[in-house]
Amino acid sequence: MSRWGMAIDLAKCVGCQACSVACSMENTRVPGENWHKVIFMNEGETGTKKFTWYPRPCQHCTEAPCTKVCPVRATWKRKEDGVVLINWYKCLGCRYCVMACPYGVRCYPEVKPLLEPDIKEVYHGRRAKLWDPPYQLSREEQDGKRGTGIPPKGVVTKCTFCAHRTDRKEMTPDRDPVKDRDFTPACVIACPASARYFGDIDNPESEVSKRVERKGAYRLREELGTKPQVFYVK
Amino acid sequence: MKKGSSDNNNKRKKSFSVSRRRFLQVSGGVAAAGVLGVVSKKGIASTPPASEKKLPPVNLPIPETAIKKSVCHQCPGRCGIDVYVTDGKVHRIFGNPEHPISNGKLCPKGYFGTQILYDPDRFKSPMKRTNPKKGRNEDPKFVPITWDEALDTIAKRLKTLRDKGEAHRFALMFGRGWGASDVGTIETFGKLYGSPNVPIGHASMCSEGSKRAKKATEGNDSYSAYDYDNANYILSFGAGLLEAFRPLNYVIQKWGKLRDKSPRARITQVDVRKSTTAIAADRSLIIKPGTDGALALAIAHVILTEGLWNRKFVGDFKDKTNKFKTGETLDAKQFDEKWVAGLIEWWNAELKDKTAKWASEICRVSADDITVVAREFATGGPSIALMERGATTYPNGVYNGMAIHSLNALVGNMFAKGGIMYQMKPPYGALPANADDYIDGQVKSQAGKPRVDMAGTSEWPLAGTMLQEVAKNHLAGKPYKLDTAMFYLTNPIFSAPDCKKWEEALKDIFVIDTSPYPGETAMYDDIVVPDHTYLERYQDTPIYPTYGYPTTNLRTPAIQPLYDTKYIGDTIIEIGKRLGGKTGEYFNAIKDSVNVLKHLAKGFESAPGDNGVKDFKGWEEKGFWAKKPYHWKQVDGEFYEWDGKDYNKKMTPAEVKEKLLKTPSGKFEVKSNLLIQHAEYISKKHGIAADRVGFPQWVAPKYTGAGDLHLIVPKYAFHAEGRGANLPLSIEQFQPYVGGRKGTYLEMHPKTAIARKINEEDRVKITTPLGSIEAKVRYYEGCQEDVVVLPFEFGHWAMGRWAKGRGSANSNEIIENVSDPISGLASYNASLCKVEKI
Repeated sequence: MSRWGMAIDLAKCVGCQACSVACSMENTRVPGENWHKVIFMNEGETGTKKFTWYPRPCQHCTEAPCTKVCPVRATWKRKEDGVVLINWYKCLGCRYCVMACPYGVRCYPEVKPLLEPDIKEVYHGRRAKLWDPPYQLSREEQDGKRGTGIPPKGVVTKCTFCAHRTDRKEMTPDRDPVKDRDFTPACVIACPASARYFGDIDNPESEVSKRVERKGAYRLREELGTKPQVFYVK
Repeated sequence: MKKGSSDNNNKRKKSFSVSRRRFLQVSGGVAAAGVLGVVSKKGIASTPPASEKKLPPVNLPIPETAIKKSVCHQCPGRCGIDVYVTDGKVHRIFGNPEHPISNGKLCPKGYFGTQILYDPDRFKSPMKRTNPKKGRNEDPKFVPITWDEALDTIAKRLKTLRDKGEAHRFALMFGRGWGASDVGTIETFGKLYGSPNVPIGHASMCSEGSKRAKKATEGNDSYSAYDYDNANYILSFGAGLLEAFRPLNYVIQKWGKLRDKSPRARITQVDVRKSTTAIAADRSLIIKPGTDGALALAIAHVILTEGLWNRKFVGDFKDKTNKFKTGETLDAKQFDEKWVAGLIEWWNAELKDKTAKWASEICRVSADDITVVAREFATGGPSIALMERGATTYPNGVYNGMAIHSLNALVGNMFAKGGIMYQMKPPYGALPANADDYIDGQVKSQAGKPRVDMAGTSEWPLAGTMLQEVAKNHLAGKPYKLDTAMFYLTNPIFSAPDCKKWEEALKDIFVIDTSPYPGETAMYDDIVVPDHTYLERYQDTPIYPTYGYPTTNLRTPAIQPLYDTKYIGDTIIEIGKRLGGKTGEYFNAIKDSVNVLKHLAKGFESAPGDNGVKDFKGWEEKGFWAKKPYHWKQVDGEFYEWDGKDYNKKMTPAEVKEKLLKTPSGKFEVKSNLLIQHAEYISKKHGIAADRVGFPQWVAPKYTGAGDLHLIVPKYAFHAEGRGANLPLSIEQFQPYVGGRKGTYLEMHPKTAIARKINEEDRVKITTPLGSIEAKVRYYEGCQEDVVVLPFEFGHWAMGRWAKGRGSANSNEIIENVSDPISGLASYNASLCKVEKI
């Protein structure tokens, strides 16, 4: 088996949010449609609060709850590389999957805009297209069957591990953000602290597997049995 | 082991049962995808049969995309960027992997470039004002004009002014001027036109304090370059290393490296609030605003009394025993100075009583913490002490800065491995004409006028520029009134302290703005001559002090300009041509900005860059010219110069004085000759004895206004050079901790808020003697109880559809225009205020 996975080194992460912005620009997201987000937290009792953060892409769960609730199987886990995708041609926009996701990574951009004026109106989309800004992926990179690029109206969207980039090359143990730039997720390329590692987590030789094997690696909400393919390491 | 697989048995069973059920579903999913594969001609849907285990599912061709080399423009960092252009549209920006600053990375702001280019509110052509009334609520009623009309109008106005003998009444104020082709052209224009006010830079509203602290102590009037790679300890005094320090991208890369190496380098952040830098650092010392100097002095005291200073750089007692004892004066004759001049005098006059306990009361951190940090700093090296605005935007800024910078001298890291350097300049070729040959008689007859901001006069003798004083001086007619003002990448009507003064001042000035965006200055414009955005133009950008060795980037247009705009360099050249006379002759010889760049690049012929760049064409292709190494190195108190192969050439004290430690003594001066030259002025302004002015010392910060809370106005990581306010994706994540997703909040400690009966999301009034502004509150325990934080970004009354009226109000409206008398840096963080619920 080969599965794409990501390791995020929280000791190196500085909370700059370059990953979030690079994701939003690469994938042309509207404000509030956060495929990737850095979650900032206060922990502990008042008076002795500790401040932390962690970056949160789609966890691409091995046991992805979102795929189970989809009435039309528009969202599925791609067997070849374990990436959870949405086929926008099939998606009904029922948003069951949004509710089912324990990590809050799925978005429905058709809701009330976060910021006024609505950017979707400023760059009004023709026909079924949700919006149509001058900056967007090239036509070849936009693919509704994998959910990359600008969605049609009324569908759920989510992180694809930048499938339009990773799919351009066959599976390799590692994706070096500099050497394999055109084949690597935008958030990995972007991270100035080099805190993110992307590669085949089933290949023990890959950098990402080695990082995951280190002491203290964990996954979010392990108790749910979702077995994310995104790991947090220190 | 993965934590998932090391879980207890129960859970494993549970997840296994899930996985069986999942198995069936997955098969279903694959079947569905298989069906799709039949339908689709290309794309991932053409999934191979389940039996075939290996990818690739697809081999989509990489679309035909041109990658253009350019330079980011959202901080002074000058990161080289790769701009992806497909079908004439920019759709992606990444760091240039070969570029020594960006190394293929960018900070979060870098990605906003595309939105900046396609900002729907951009000016689309030159325009003139038709509504003679000016004010916040006056519509300028711009009408489009041709470039010829715009340039002719400006040139005619300037010519008339000069013919009247009033060339000095034209001022050109600029912010982010970078290279020979923009600010270089502007400076030459000022020389030929004959106005001392062309240009007036914005450094006094930016970060002039650290430059002056360095000039006073070691003669380099510059920001520093740092050898982060080899550093083992970083002591940052209020520098927003992970938010606003320059170049942010480079600093974060180095931060990641410092965290990855074994053993990990340690970072201590001194700050007035829990910034992301303070949170990510190994240790944070949260101090009372403006007291960084006291902390630094106490650290110096500990280093000396515990005998931890670098003897090879600083020198030692003649008998090699440490005689620094708290409270005891020493005889200077007992000490052999090496590269630090005046140490014993400094000790006697200032340091001997500045114990950790003394500082702990002033700074509000424990004496033990100070002692520990001092020991770590002095023994865990190579160490760097650094600062910028955080420690210097107070009236005592330069003294704070000198105290901090002196720590670098005590551990001997000046020009050393893992220490501090200065930035070398690129070997540019000569321009086609020499401006000095074109100065006409008119200019000479009008020489000798003071600058309108009074920088360099007896008013501000040590300041290089005083942009924040222009409005005030114009209104008072002292030294004179301006007639015409031009702005390039600066918007003091929003960003200067007491910025409302500018709204009055610009009413009777003929205003020309070059911004491509409808900012506040533009609302007062008489003529708009919009610049290209940075992705549409050629420009050279020698780098900001970063790593020492010379580098200069070339911006090339990623796409043809979207609108009828013109690069500022060409606007100035065109105005120059239209002025006629000798000025016109000069600018005709210069021709245009690309011609300037081609001449600059001739300098590379004899010094090809490490990436092979030796002419304009190569510069354009690679996007930068860089040549390693940095030429100087200090090892164990000896200075060496690069001889072409290695650092073999030992430098004489005279050479060190000429090239590195450029003070009158040729040493690092903890008794500053520069300040002693201005003893009378400093003594009067700071109220300290004239014979003490030269020492890095504790001068209590004079806070402005009245109130019980310190108003701190930091820049956050998404502060994209003033354009962040109109970028939807910046607004959305601007203030990470308190979560302002639609604008900014006033960050307030819950105790402080509750004592004032202020709930989260309540609107409050922030009051200083200049007036009040409104803001919304969120609680943040990372604030000290007497500190409130309002990020500098929002509160625009123009600037575009998303910026206008968004978020809390502009803090600059209530920040008094008080500056550090030495550097002239505006005291942005020195305000005391009151906060009440509305």
